[in-house]
Amino acid sequence: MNDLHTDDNHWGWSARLVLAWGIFVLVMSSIGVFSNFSHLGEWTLGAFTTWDETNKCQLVNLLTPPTWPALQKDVFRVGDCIRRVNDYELNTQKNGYGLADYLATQVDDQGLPRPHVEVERKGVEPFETEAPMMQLTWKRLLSQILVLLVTGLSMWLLGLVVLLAQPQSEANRVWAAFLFMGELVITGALARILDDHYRWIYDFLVISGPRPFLGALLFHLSLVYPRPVRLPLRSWLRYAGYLPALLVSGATAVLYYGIIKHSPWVPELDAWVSLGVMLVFGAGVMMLLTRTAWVALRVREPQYVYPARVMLLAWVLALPLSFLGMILENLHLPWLAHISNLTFMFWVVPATSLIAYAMLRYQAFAYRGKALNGLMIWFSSAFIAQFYAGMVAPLGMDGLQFIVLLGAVLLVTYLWSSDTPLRRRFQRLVMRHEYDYTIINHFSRRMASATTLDACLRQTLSDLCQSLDVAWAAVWVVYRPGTLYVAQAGQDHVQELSADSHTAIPLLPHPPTGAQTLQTGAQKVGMAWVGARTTAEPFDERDQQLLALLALAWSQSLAIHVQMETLAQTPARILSAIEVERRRIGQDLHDGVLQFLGVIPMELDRAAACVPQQSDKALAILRRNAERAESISIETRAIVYDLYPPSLAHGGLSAQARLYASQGCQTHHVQLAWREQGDGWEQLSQDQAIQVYRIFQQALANAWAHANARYIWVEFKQEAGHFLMTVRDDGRGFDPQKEEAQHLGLITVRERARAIGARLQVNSYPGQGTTVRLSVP
Amino acid sequence: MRRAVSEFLEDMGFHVYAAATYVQGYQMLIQMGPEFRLAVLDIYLTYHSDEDGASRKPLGLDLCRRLKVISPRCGVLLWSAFSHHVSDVAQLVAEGMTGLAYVPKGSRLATIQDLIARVQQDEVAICVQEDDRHLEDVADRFLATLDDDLAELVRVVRNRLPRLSPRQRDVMVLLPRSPQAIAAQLGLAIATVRNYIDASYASLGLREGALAVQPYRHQSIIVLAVILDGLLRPKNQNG
Repeated sequence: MNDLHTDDNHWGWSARLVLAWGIFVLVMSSIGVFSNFSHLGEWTLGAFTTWDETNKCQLVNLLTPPTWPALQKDVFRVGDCIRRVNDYELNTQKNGYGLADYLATQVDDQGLPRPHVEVERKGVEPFETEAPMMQLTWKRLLSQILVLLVTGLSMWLLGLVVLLAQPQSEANRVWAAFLFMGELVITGALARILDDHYRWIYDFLVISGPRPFLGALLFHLSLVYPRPVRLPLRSWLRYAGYLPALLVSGATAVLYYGIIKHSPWVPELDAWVSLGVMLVFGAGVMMLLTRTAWVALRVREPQYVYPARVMLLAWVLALPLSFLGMILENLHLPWLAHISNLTFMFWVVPATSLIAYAMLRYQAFAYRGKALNGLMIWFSSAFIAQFYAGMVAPLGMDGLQFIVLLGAVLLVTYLWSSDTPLRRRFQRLVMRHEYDYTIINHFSRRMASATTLDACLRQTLSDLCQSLDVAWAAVWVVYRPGTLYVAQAGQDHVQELSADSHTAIPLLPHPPTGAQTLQTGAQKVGMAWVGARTTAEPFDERDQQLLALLALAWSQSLAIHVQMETLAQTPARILSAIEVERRRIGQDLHDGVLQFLGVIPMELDRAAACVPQQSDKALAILRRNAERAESISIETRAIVYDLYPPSLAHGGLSAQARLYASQGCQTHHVQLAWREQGDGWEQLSQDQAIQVYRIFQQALANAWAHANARYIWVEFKQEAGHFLMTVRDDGRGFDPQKEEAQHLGLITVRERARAIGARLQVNSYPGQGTTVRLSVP
Repeated sequence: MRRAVSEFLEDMGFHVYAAATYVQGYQMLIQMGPEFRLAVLDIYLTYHSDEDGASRKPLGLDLCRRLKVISPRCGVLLWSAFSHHVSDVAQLVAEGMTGLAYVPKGSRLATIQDLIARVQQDEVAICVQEDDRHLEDVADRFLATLDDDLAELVRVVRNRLPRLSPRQRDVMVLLPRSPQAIAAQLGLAIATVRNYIDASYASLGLREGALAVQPYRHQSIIVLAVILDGLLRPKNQNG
């Protein structure tokens, strides 16, 4: 079981509690087992009390060894009730003690020769007969102890596996608790094979006490598995079963163990308790079945439907198996005689394995080398032992079968934890295709859901690391030529190391186990490396194939993301180019036309002064043109101003913005609150300044034109190396999800922000005003 | 353009020296600064001749300051392609400088001649010709250049200018000059001019300590207020 995942970090407090509880019960069971050895060599009628102490008779139960002559000669059958022995009436309720107590007073070393018994058999009138006695031998005792111990132990381990697979899931915790409870009841029955008047505390703790809680747990489970019920009531409804369970459990204690004297005060309490146990357990089972069926039929999401279907399937398979076992008992086929009483118990092992396997398998956490391996060991061991019991050992050596089962477990464990061709083939046939498919599927989904190239790199890299079960995975791509991404097992974040294509390899954590070139078409776009396996399995050629397949899909996805990013940046580039062009035109006008125009009106005036006063016509022409030249220069100045506000060019962003804001606010009758901290804004490059200014203009224009705002708050400040601009208004806001939001110039604004690598945040809600925050690194 | 201006100034009877860059201008200033009577300065200059036009900085202001130190009597006409640079002049006025005028390039001969005459009389004069929208811009920028306290003072004083009588107002406009010069200009007795000045200071709230005028000079505040008034008046008239 060295593959079972037992990393402490994965254990919640509840996991520790349940583990401690399971260990406690195992210890208690062992004490019970060893105390039974004191009865070795005693004579008995072979009818052992298990958990049917409320019966009015002593049942010949499934645990009775098939080698008992009374069974072999068909004097008794499993299910028969022994009512009287030599005129002594066996009624535990009435007499307070049963068959073992009676025999203890009657039987000497030679035994009671063939006592006279009255037997009640289903479908037959009660009849009287003589029955041979049976002496308790080592072999017989072991056969009974082990059948219970193995079954209980397997359930307990299954519970542990379920819990470990995903300890944070509530469904898994409840499943695990349920299986532990089952183990309590089964192994607890060991203590009842032979009577012991001082064992009542143990009986209560491990048998009658937990039984109602099994129902409560099933009830709880039905509300959280496979899909949690979403009701306002759910928080208390889930736990609704525990109170009745506690009551019934308490009533059991009162009734059978006389914790309160002078009881019962309720008439026919025993009947009520039986009914209570039945109701609580029945409610749990019915609820689980109903819910499972409902999910399987009504819910659409496959992640819920698959487990539900498999649960139903498991129930449908396990129940007939149990019934089949009982039917075989009653048929009394001679060749089945030696295993007949064990059939039911044996089938419990594969049946519960099947349920747990299905649960794990379809909850998509069947990562290899961990929980699933532990399960597979038990699953296959049970089948090997079953095969042996049915085919190879028809000679009736009861205890031997269990030794065989244990041996099978050890053998399978060994085969599983070492790298053998058999195991590989088995893995490949049973798990690998399915598992690889799951990885590829998951990987593709993650790639499809990634929105940026970086996200695609990071997410898929850590997925790669996790799904291949390798210690680390690293990737270097030409699209991010300065960075080596490294994901380590057990860490959420992906490291970024600065490296180029040549220095990447020495930076890897360890020499790589597998390497794969990423390429699109014939062009090499990067390299991916993976480290050593974290499990016992080697990184084989099939893993390399899987890696190659993933790398292929990965390169395509990366290429698409790169294309998308290029496309996404185009508007920003265009906007930038427009601003550059505007500035250039403005500059040209300023340096050329304006300078030239600068002296024209003056020169024309001077010319006019030189013209003799008599030539009115020449004077008129000169003066008219001087006026025109003056108005042209005024107009040209206005054009240049609009093309590129002159103060922006000289670091006056906030002054310019303030001017713009105060003017506009005056025109639109809006109150302006202005705050300014630090002068870092003046350090922005011209490109950044103009884009910030345009974003600012758009934000204010929206506030004036659409928002119907009364107040506008503007803040320019410097914070942790970032320049922050905030524009907030108390206007009517808008819904960013709606289409009208697109008309407010937000797209252009976002592109502008992107063009200078700034982060833009627009928060708005109808009636709540709008806040535009821009952060320039 | 330099040649056109030189010719124009020579026509006016000046002996003209021309410099193309800040460095040249500075050398000229050092050599014969005290002799200068009038300087026409472009606010935005290149530092050195091997720089391109785009790298111009407001070095004209620096030259102006230096010139006023070397030759306080020299009148300075600042000009630039953009009226927004009037705000730079505001700084100089706030520093207490007089004999200073601003004109945007592309102005008429008469305007320029008038301003030259006024700077030589030690007046401060601003000429801005823009459309309304940009004029308002210019005014805001003009105030934004000043310290917040001073800007507030100037705004208040400007709003109180209508309290003055037309005669007081005439005196105020000429204020950078000495009372004697004002008296000569307006044909009044010096004592009368002094009375007008005192009365004006009182009406504008600069006397009773109603306004916290320290550490600014009364004269500067009033000059700035008059300039501001000049910038805002066209709009008021339209409205």
